[in-house]
Parts: sequence; structure tokens; C-alpha cells
Amino acid sequence: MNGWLWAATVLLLALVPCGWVALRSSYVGALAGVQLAGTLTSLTLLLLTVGYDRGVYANLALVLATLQIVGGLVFARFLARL
Amino acid sequence: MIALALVWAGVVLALACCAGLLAMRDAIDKLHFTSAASVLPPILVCGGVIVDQGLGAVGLTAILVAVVLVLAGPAAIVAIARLERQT
Repeated sequence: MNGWLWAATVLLLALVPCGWVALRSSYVGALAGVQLAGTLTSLTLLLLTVGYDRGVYANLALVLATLQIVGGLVFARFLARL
Repeated sequence: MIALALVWAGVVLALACCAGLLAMRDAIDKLHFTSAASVLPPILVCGGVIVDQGLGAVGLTAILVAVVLVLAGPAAIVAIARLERQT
């Protein structure tokens, strides 16, 4: 375990409060938790890229960062119709 | 060393935003912390990656990740906040 992997582990643990908020809050509050979880996961993947010294993992972080924002917009669009 | 300092600063800020998300009652307040987490921690973490890796493939991808999160993240938050205003 190096410093990068420890930082990634701490960010993974930070997903727990996001999941709690997503489960216990209103629609919009839950969406806020999901968005924050997506951001943290994307940063975690970036840290794992350096921690494991595998450059291709960085593409996963980029794809997730893009898709989680698109997903948030789609969620907002559909929740507005409820 | 500088790279890890930047990364840990980003991690601490992300943890602070998670604590704020957990502590706030109102959905708009939660969105405020989500928006902060999509701007400051990505800049610091990606800055640490760039300092460590240089401007190679990983460094350029880190720049792209930071740009996507910093520019598009708050836009998604604004869309979600409009949803809260409608309901």
C-alpha cells in the first residue's frame, strides 16, 4: 500500500455517507448524494491509476466523470416529470 | 511529496463535503456541498496526479477529468436545483 492507494481507500470510505443520504433523503437530496458519490468514485479511479501504475485505468475515470454528469441530468429530467 | 500533499488536501476537502452533505437537512444545502465537492477536490487531486506523472497520457487524462468535473458538475447541480424549485 502506497500513499495513493491509501487516499483511494479513504475516498471509497467517503462513499458511505453519500449512500446513506441517497437512501434516507428526498428525491433531490438523494440525487445530490448520487452526484457526490460519482465525483468521489471518479477521483478514486484516478488515484488507483497512479497507485497501481496502470495508465489505462485513467480512461475509466474520464468515462465515469462524463457519464455521471449525464446521468444526473437525465435523473433531473425524469424526476421533473413525476 | 508535493503530489501527495495535493492529493491529501483534495481528500480532506472531499471528506468535509461529505460531512456537510450528511449534516444538512435541506436539499439545496446538500446540493451546495455537492457542488463544492465537484470543483475543489478534483482540482487538487488531478493537480497531484499531474505533478507526479507529468504531462503524459495519465496527466492529460487527469486534466480532462478535472475539466469535465469542474465545468459540467455545477451545471448538473444547477439542473437538479431547478428541479427542487419546481417541486
